[in-house]
Amino acid sequence: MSFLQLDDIVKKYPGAERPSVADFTLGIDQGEFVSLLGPSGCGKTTTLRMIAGLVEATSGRIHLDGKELTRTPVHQRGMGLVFQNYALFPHLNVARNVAFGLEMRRTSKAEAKRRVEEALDLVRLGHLSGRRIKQLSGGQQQRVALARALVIEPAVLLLDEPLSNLDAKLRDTMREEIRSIQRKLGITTVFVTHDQDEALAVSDRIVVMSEGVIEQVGTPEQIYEHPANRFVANFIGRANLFDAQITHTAGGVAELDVAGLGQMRAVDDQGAKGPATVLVRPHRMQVSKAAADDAHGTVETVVYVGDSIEYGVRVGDNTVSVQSVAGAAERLERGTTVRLSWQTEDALVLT
Amino acid sequence: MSAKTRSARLTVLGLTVPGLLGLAVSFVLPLAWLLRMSFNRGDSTGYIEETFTLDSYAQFVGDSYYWDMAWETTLLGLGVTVLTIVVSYPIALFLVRTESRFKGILVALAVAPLLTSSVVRTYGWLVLLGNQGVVNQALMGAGLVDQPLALINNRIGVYIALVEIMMPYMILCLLAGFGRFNQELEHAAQSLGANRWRTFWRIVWPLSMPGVLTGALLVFVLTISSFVTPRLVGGGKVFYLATEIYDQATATLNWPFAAAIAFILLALFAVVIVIYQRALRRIEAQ
Amino acid sequence: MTSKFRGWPTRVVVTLLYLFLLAPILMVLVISFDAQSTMSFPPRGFTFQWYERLAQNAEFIHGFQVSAVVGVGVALLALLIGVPVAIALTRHEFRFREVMSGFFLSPLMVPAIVLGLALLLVLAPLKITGTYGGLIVAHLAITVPYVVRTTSMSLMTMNRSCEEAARTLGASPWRTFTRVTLPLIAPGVLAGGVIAFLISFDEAVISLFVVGPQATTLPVEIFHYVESRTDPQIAALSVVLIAISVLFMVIIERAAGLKKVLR
Ligand SMILES: Nc1ncnc2c1ncn2[C@@H]1O[C@H](COP(=O)(O)OP(=O)(O)OP(=O)(O)O)[C@@H](O)[C@H]1O
Ligand SMILES: [Mg+2]
Repeated sequence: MSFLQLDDIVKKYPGAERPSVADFTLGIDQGEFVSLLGPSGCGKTTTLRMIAGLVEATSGRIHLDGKELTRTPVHQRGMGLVFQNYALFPHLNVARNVAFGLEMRRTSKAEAKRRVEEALDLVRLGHLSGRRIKQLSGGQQQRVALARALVIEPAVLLLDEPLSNLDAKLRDTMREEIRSIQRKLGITTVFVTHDQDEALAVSDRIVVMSEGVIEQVGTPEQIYEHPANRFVANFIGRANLFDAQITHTAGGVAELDVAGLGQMRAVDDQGAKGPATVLVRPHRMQVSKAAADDAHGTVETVVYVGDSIEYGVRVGDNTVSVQSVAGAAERLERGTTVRLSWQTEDALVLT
Repeated sequence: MSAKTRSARLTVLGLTVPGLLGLAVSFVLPLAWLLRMSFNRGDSTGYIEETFTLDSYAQFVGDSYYWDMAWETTLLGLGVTVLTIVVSYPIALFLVRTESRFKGILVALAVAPLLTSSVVRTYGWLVLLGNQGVVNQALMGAGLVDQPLALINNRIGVYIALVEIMMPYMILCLLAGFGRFNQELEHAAQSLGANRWRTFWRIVWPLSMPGVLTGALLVFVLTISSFVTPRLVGGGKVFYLATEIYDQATATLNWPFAAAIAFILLALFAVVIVIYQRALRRIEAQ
Repeated sequence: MTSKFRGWPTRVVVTLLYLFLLAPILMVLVISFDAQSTMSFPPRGFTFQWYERLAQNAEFIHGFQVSAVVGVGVALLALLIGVPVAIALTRHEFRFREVMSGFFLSPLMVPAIVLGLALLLVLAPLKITGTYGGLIVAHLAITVPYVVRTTSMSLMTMNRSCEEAARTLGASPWRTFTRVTLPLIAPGVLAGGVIAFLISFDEAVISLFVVGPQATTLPVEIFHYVESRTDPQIAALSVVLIAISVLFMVIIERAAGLKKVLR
């Protein structure tokens, strides 16, 4: 059993037709940084709130460090939660906000003072401890919320889209800062986001969710390079997905008949048979001019984006995206007839 | 799980029981008692016979004097409502459209009278409308009349004072109703060639209908149940259901009859509210 | 389009209507400084004598005291029972919530003349008409709805996640309420209390039925005074009362914003 263990968690809100979270099983190790990633409404917040105890699970069990806490009331769970809107107490100043959790624990005045100062220094806000909340910028409020959650030395730090209210630049800095504080304290962290770049950049492991269920759990590399299914492939990074028929498999490589492209090869870990989907990332695709009778399709759109050129190639009813390094090959005009290809190791058969 | 729902129920119970008890004592019980009282038999000596009879209602229904009173009360409600709409609408429309710097102050002035008790404002009207009052002095000074007009101790004064007292309520309702008013729409209608008057009747008025209806209901209900103004401006010489309830209860001491009139007044309320809801549904259906 | 509505006919009409609306209050203001004692116009001379006489009128002073004590009592009691109801209505799910929410607003739908009579019938046999307790009970039903409404409004507009944050930080439900919820809804609670006071202080019709020789409220004293005479002392008193109302409204405005409360 892991440090934080969720088993068969289900949440069905009263009156809802389908459960918002279903059969959620996940183990998180001590000190690990895990992201919950998925589109809006997939149940990330619900899952996080069940861990915090703010939402009661319909069924399933939650264990922390071997002890069951499924029915422990919120205020006895000792989880540190950072809200998307920060939820700072507007009637208290910065220091009193951070001290709140310690007051509830009846920590002695002197110790509380020391720990509040430490926490504020950790988020580099020591100089603002007397400020009112209204007088802080969004980024500063974010830091106060983080300090307030950390000062109680929570067993697990829970972050619900903590960066979504910040502007793009600040978001990147805060993201690094959160990660480095997490490393320094070695605190187990669950981070909710719908931003794949954010998840890929900071996580030890990513949990991809869709419509209340887990689609895949893995390191950022595994998720990106070996997506478990079409949903994950589409959600993480950009993807071309081709319908294909497997004709022969040997040594982890499948020979395929790809609709519109003909005979191709792709990596196949599972030795699948019959109909399959092939994933090729746009920057792994190759495109070359071809005579009309020999071509797979026609260039439909050309977008120049600095370092690279993005082509939209019409193949039958579908559009295939190709991203090629600008200057590396001759530039193709709209309407050019082309052939598409890829290296075997760049294509993956999905089940 | 069930322990949890049980404790949740106990919490709700604990939170609401004091309030429920408070309203039970100060509201539900008295009204229930009033209903019971209306079925007793009383007379003008203050003697009350505990029984179960419809005598008091029969006394009301059987006497044309009370029919007239009910009719006058309804008429007062309708008249004051219509007049209040007429005098409040221009102010509300003006307040919605004005871009004046003083808009805030003007809105505040329009509803400020709500802060003064209606006893005080009624007193103000007594002073204004009396034989020596501003209105009569001005009329006589201008040579329009030789003798002071009788503006108090009769129904005219009651109408005038009540219209003024109801104005702030009507203005508030109209302003709220204008909330979803769209100036663009009016623009569009004008550019289509509708003249100003037609724009008003075809577009502005229908759009403000919900606010007008809400205001009308409120004013009607407040008017037919008002007591202080009819009593003071009417000088005890004009009678409505509300003044009659008071007289029967405190002077004649016929409590059963007073209770019966009270429920007849409530019935009038119910009728008006049903009419209001019908009208509202028809307007919203359009 | 704007120029048309600023034309002089509109201005004249609107000005006249404002004059009509404010006439009685203006009249009261003028009369209160008028040197003559009959109600006639125009005023003849300026005087403070009505205000001076007011200060010596034992009935008015006693009435003022009764109204103030009853008003404070009603406001406190209405808060005590109204705030928990607002919490139940906004923070808890239960089967009859809609019904209960309607029930707590329903006293406002019953005419004061009817409610006054009803209260007389119940309070008279108990011999508590004309007592502070009786008056407080009589004013309770018409003030609790306002407390429930302003408090519910504050609870609904307040940031719920502050309460959740407090819970995750280790605050029990009760401590969450006292340390976070209450400070955050204080303006709405205060506004409810002030409105309850003002309504009780101004209430005339219900009081007419349930006052007695020992305890008669100020509006009832004024009513009976005006019934028999109309000298400018009443005007002076009215001006004082208007000043008090304005003062309270300023307090509410500062605390909560008048607009929120009036809606
Ligand atoms: N209190 C609630 N009552 C009923 N349904 C709810 C409640 N909260 C969430 N839901 C539903 O549960 C589903 C999951 O919601 P959740 O907030 O967990 O999504 P999310 O993944 O956090 O989405 P987002 O990225 O938009 O924050 C949604 O369909 C939502 O409508
Ligand atoms: Mg969410």
